[in-house]
Amino acid sequence: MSGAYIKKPNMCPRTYSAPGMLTCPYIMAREQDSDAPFMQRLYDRIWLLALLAVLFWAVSYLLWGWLDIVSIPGVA
Amino acid sequence: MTLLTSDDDYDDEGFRTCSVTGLDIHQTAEGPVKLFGLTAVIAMLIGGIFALTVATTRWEVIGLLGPGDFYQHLTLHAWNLLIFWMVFMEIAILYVGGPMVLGRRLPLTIAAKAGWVLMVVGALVINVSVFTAGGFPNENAPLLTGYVPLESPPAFYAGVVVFILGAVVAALPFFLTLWRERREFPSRSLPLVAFGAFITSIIAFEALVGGLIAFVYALLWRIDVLGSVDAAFYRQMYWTIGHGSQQINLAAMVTVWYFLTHVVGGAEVVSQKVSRTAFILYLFFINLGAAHHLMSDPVVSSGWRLFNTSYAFYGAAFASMIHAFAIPAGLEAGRRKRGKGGGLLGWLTSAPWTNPVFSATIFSIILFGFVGGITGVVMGQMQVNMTWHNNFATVGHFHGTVAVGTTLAFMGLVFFVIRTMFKRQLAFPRLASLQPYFYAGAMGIAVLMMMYVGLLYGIPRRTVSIVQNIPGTNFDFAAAAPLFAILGVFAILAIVAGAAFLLVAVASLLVGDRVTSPADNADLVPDGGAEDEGKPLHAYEMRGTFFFVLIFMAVFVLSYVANWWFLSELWSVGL
Amino acid sequence: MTSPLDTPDDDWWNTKINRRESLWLGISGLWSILIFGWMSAYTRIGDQNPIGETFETSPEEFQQAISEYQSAASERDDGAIVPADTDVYIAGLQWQWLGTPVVLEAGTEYDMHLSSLDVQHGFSIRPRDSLSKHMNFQILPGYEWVLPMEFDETGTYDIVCNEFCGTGHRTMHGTLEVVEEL
Repeated sequence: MSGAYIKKPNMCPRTYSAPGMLTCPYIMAREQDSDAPFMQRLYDRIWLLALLAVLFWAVSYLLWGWLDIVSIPGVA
Repeated sequence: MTLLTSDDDYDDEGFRTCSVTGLDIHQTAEGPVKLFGLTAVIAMLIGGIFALTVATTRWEVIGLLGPGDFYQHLTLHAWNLLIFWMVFMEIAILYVGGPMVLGRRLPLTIAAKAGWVLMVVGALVINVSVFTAGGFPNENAPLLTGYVPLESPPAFYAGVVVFILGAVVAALPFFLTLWRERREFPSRSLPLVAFGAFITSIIAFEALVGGLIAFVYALLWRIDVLGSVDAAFYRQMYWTIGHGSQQINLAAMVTVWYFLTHVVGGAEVVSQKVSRTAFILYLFFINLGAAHHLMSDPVVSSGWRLFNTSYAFYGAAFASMIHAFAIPAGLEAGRRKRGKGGGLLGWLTSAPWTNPVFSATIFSIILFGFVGGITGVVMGQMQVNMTWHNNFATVGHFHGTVAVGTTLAFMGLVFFVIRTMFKRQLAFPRLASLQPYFYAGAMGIAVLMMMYVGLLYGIPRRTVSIVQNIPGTNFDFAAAAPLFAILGVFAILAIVAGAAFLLVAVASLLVGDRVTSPADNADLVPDGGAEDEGKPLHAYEMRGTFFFVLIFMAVFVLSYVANWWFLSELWSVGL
Repeated sequence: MTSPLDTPDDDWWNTKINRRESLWLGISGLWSILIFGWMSAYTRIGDQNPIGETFETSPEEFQQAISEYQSAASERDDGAIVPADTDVYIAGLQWQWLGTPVVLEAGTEYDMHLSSLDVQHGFSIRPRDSLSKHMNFQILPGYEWVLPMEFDETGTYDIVCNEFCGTGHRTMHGTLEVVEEL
């Protein structure tokens, strides 16, 4: 037992960047597993999360702050 | 450059399998990781030299520099360490967390190279424009913040814009990698380290966009395209990158903690759900904390300040506390599973403490949490901030987070990359083993002294000399001189410890024994490898971790109460 | 797979959470709410809040306001300004604090009008005999910040600048004296 790996070797050949390449049965089986819980699928939707987060920051920090700045009155 | 290429066995498709992590690494990713990592270390060297001149000036017994030079040195110390050492490392971390962890090639390698060139050009322009700045009235040292309307050389602002653009370009291959991975495997969750890298990249995106706005605005004013400049708007926008860059550091560091505790300590993920939730809280809320710098400011409303400084009701602080449990728990459960636990703390005492990659990571976790993190939350409370704003305690806080916390984690990572990608054993192995202890200890004490002189004596930051006397007055801060002596000594010791890191790193790269077979790096694999049968991970004991986090909470509560009590003793201020 | 480098197991969302981790989530979540609540509540129940009205101004306008204030004020033998009423004007200027030295009465609430006539400065004030008691505020050109302040303890208070404002930054010093009665 070499013990050199701390992670199991991939059970499939490496994937390259060609889209839609599903040559490995193990991968194919997992692709069909689409009944993961809603929250899990939401956590996986990274671009949606990124968009929502950036919007939240833009409103809370940027917009609100800009509003504060432009609503400063002149000297009483 | 033989340093950056490898005589590794890449297969026909350009991949090799790492014998330590098991990751499939493509040559398009490995070269840039080494390049950006090397550049980061060079930036650390430059920033470290200025650390020496700054420290020996603020310790007025030496008082090395005068007002003409000090602020330039302070500027260069800050930019090279807080920005260049950090951001070059973080691009490397994105390439590790993205393509390497996912076993993919790095796409758009031209963007990696172009980004690097732009970042280096920007960094050089910043360094040169500051070093050659003529001083008052219109070529003042900008410090880290470039606070308008104090004028600095126009080339400085231009250099910053170029650097930021370079970082954006360098990040593109990471985004593309994730895009392709998600398109190819839409129902497969990213590995946690890749998820953390993704979170880091979006935090970075916000910081870089905000920073571009701030510095383009300042540049346009400096070259007279804009007739005037609004200090409040600049401050609000500046701090999106000023603090945002530090939040990139935080997210990258936490990701590195998961990575390194696993790879060299045998940690596992005790709850994907909990750790990912914490990362998502970071994603949404962490950059609101840029408001920390505007607590004792006019203009911004108290509502804006309260909401943003708290990262939305302390959502992101909660996230940090989640990771504070999850990461040690991962180490504890992972090691207990391997039969390395024993009693309350056997899992920790049996860990590879002579491996500097491990010790650096653990000290990073402990000191970031206890010293940097707690003070950050406490001083970010709107009212307490009045007693921390612009004095040396603030300097102590961010040296606790960045100079101790993040820097130690990144030092561990550099040592790791030297072994596994540059394929060199560490030179001066005994020194290498001791270096994280030396640095953590010395810098840790220096940081505590910074906080004491700031809080107990109100010593201003960003001031060349003020303790011994203030010219033209009969007021001074001489009472702080004894603490400054301790600060000075330990700051110098910390710099020596940093130099030791550089010595080991550079010597390893140049003359370290080559790693020629997996057996040479087998000592990095914790405990000889994993046996992965056994109970589910959540069923393993985590009482050692629980013990530590309770101590952490006790320190947090004490610091919080102490700071609020000090504040309440002051005279009244405010509506 | 429980490795942070691997794709997690399919059902990771439903994996149990260790009891102690859950307990910690509760403790740290509660603490987060508590500290937000305290900070917010203090704006109503506390005596030290960095909250005051801000007005847009300009160096010329504020300079004018200071001049009017100083004309209306009286002067003590040592040259310290004795304000005519409860408005006090202090401006940061490379490299001095205009409007100092000033004498105030203990137990009276004053409106401190703070601004800068050139660049950003840091208004940093403490009692001379108690260096650990200090307050620090950012001063911006183009904005006038009106911060109410009421001093209880008599004595000399030293004001220094703690924001870099150019070569003479370290020499910026002013005094504010608090006396029993004016």
